[in-house]
Amino acid sequence: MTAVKDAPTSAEVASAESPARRRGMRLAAARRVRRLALPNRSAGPRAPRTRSVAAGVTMWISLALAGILGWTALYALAVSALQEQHNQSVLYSKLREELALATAPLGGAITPGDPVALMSMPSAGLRDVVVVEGTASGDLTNGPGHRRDTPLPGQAGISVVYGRATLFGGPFGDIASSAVGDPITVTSGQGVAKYRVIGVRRAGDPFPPPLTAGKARLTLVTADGSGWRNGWASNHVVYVDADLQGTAFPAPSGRPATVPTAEMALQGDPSGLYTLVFWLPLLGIIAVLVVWMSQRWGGWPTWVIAVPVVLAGLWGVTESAVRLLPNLL
Amino acid sequence: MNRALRATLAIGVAAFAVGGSGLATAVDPPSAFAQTETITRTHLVDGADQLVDKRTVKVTVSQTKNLRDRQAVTVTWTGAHPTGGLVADPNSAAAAMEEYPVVVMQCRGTDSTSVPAAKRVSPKTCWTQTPGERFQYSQSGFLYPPYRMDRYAPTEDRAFAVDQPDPLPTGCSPVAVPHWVPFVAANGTSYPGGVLGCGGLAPEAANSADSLQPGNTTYGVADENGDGSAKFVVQTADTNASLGCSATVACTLEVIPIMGVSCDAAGTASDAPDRGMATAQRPSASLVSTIYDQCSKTGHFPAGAYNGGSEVPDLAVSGQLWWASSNWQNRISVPLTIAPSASVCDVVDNAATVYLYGSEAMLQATQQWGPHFCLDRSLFVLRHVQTSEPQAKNLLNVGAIQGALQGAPPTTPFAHPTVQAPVAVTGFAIAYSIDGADGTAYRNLKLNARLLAKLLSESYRSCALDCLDFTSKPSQKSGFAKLATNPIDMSRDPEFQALNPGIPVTNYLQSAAALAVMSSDSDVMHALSSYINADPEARDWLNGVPDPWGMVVNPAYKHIALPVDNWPLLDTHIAHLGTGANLCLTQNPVPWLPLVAAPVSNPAMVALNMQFDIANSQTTCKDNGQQNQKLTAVGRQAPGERFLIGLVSLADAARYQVDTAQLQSHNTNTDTGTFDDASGRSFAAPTPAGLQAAARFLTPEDTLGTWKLPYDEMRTATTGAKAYPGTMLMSADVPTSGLNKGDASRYATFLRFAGGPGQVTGLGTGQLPPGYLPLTSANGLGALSTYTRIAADHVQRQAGTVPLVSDPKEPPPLPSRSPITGSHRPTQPSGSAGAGSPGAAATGSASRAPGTNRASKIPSPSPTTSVAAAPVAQTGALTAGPLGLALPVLALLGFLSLGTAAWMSGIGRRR
Repeated sequence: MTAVKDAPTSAEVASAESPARRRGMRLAAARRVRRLALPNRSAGPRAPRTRSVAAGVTMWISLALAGILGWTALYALAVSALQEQHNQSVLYSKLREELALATAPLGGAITPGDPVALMSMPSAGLRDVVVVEGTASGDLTNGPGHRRDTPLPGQAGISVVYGRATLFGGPFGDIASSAVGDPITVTSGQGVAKYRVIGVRRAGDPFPPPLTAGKARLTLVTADGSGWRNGWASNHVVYVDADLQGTAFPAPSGRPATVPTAEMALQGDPSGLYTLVFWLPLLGIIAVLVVWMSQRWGGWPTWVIAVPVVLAGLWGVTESAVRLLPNLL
Repeated sequence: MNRALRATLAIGVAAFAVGGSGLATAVDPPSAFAQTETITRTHLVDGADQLVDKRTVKVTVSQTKNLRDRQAVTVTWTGAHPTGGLVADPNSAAAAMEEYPVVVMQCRGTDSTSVPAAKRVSPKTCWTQTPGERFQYSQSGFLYPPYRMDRYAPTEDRAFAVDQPDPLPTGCSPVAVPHWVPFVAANGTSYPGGVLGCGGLAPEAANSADSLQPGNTTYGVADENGDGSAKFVVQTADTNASLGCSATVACTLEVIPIMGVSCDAAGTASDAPDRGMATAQRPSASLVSTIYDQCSKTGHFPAGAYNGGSEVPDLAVSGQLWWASSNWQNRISVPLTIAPSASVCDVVDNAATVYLYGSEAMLQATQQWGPHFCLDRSLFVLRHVQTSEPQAKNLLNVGAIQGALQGAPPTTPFAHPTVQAPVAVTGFAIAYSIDGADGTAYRNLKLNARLLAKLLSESYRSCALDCLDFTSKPSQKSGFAKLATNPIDMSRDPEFQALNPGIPVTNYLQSAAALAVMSSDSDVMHALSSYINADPEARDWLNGVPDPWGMVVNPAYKHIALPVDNWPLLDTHIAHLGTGANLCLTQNPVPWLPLVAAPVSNPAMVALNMQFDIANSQTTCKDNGQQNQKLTAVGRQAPGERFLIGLVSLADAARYQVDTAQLQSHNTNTDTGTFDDASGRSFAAPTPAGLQAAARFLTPEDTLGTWKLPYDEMRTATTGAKAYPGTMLMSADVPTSGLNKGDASRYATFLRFAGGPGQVTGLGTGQLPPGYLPLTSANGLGALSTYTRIAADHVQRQAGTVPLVSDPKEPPPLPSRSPITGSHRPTQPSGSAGAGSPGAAATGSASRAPGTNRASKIPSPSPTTSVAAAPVAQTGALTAGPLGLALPVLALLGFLSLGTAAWMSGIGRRR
């Protein structure tokens, strides 16, 4: 934790220092650490020990907490979007290859996490977004997810695609503002399907007219908040229905009849807990090691080694923790 | 040796006092057959008849009509010449060497002069598995062997070479006095046979008798009184296309009591126009007495003596000469009628096919039901695809199939409204093939649940030489050391001996230490393990309480959770066999007890193994010590020392006539100490009465959508004493939504048939074979067939309704198709209705009730709740809950901590 709370210093600066200066800095750092570990010594013998220790400890703990929470906020709003972008580009190349080889999944039981289709919705700012299979919180970190018990987009029946509104780039953040008639294009292993939006629904709104046999519909689902919650604390679900223009593709059988609770709307994925109990102790161990290193080697070497390791630990913790949050956020 | 002799006698003599396995009784009395014939052996000496022997033989056959492939029939005879020179296996090629056997064989054709010669039965159309049974030559080179001196043989059959292919096939060497009896296949091809089949064999024939399935040619044994019987396995064109017996190709069962060759030593017989030898070939007068001595021999062995293999039987009276005219003319011909095979439907081109996936326990029924549908051009082809029941239920659940046959309700209710309509009551049977102390088949086997648990849980050591070292491995010492004192196999278990007095200990047969079961998931295993689980003795024992004699459960199975669909193999003990005994295991050690258990792939394989006494324990090292050595099955067991026990379906047991054990139904003993007889315990056999008594306990369970057998109630109620605990209710699962109109109507037709005309016991097309208890009011099962008929209407309607099991009602009249109803049941072309409906999309984690079969769970007067849909379809409300506030809370906490830190650092600086 020590590494996080100190002022950031870049490794490049340290390497540019002369050896003598570096030695001096190391001594200074060692002094600082010693002071850090036992604040009462430098505070003078007459200082009330307990008050001082308590204040120092509280301060550092608060700082550390603020650092962690700050990182979490940073991760949720910015870093996770980067992560999603990276995953999207990987999935895009994978799907592109599968489409070229005609091995893209057509239906039935598809492994969750596999790319299944490309979606474009200009009115919501979506361009060639890869839709993955599965709607659990973890699946949706990679992009919009296709609900596994519904037909694939383009196939006869009602296909349902979930997307996040805020975290991980919030691909579906703008779909609630779409208007009737907005086009949606989906490219899957069976071809290109063109949809037009027929309406946006929230709780209490009537269902769209029932689908006749052989037709297809696409329902996009994301989270939405009203008032102050808008944009960062969404608490209910919004649906965008779009009807297929033209003929639907046939839907192969064999897809699951139900999905687990974790894949339903606004559900967290409790399996994130398992990875969390792995990452949290790891982060603790890293923290202890960093403190030990800083006492032993002094400041700069510790910084150089500790920053990436601590960041990786934090990344793991936050990624697991975010899985516990509702999947549409 | 002596035991095996008695055994062979036993195969027949004690056979078929059907008592123990009551279901095997022939259902159709007119199909039984009986005929009496007087036969003689009369030599021709100096132109005068010399009567040697005269017998009046009576033959009865248990069933001759509507026979199906591999079906066993019982042939019984009295008054035949006592048999000598016995061998253990009456179906083997060596058995042909017996003296005076009663040869039973299946021949194509009709034994009548009124049919054209091509359709007449002759030795050339009679099936033998090995070529040696239909070929003779003179090994000594003597030119006048007995078969050439047969006074009744036509002149051409007394030539030097008879029916020898010309030119001699390559690979055959010339021999003296060859007599070929080629086999003429159904398609007209002639297979000459010859020495080791050098002239060509039918594809179904084999050179040696040690192929896995023995031939059906039986060299039956007559005891000192000339009585005996045999189980004869009928082969149809399905397994023996060369023989080719079918519903359209007539076949005959030939029973030939061997009397010996009636000799004409001088070759001068002239009692019919074409008799006697050609003048040039007749023996010289000086040879006649030598020839007569050989030909008139009456047997080397005394009646009932065993052929040790070193002595040569007398050819003149041996079974090898079944085709000689003297013997052949004594034949008793039993016309057989083969039932239309289920494969007749393969060539019927009805447009539609109704597929039923699942239970193999229903196979015998669907095979007889099938032709009823496919032969009616207005109906459809009913196709039963045999899969394991749990697999079929899964496939139905995901919408991949439209009909499943199950033996137990699915563990989680079907995702779509689905009826589980009863189609038959049958069950599992514990089949056995066990020889008693006198070498005869034991026919009164009684088992309790604890013995079955012992067999299944790999708790018998099954290794005579302590090859499983339970004590030396320190890590396993604690638990497994106890196993070292367990009996080696079931025949050595005092509990088994108490229930079944008189069964000797086996010669360390591994098959006596395990129950032959299938490795696939099965509702049959589910039923068996439910029975074990419900029995307090068995359950306590599985939980670790030793039995009264101190036998303990294998720790690997302690506290095993039952019931299971698939019995797991959990033991991991490596065998330590003596060096060289079994190099497969010495060089590549694998756990021993799972090899002993060696489950087979499907229930039909268990039935096959039980029918032919094949032990499947994979403990024999084939090519021991060679590079290609491998572990194989032990193989067929010798009659007289058999001990096999396996789990089969009741209908299979009835068709293949394997013996079935009685299972313990009641135990009134309160004392938990040792016991030495079966007193206080009741056992029920899988007879129609036993099934009927058990079926009366079936209780409707609306939550399951079907009936359930309450094992605990059966175990305590008075009438439960006679109830067979292996009873199972078979049901057809058909969804009531998502089928198109044609399919719905066809499945409904099938259900109406299964709930009505199909419930008639019989062996004909569209009838229910033995092994099934018809769902009739007379059997107290009227409610079940009524439910099936009502379920058929719900299937036809396809409105997503399921009748309540406890109170089935016809579906209501079809409502006018309103858009709202439509929105609740969108027609999904893929057949997987419900999923992806707006309801599913909108309500998310909320109830998906319309798509499930909860309709039957609601005890409302109308079982059709899902038809009365909610009046307005609205998008449901869903909220994220407190976790939705995670980001704001985190931000707030972050600022708070930052503030605290700033404040604290201020305090620190002030100091």
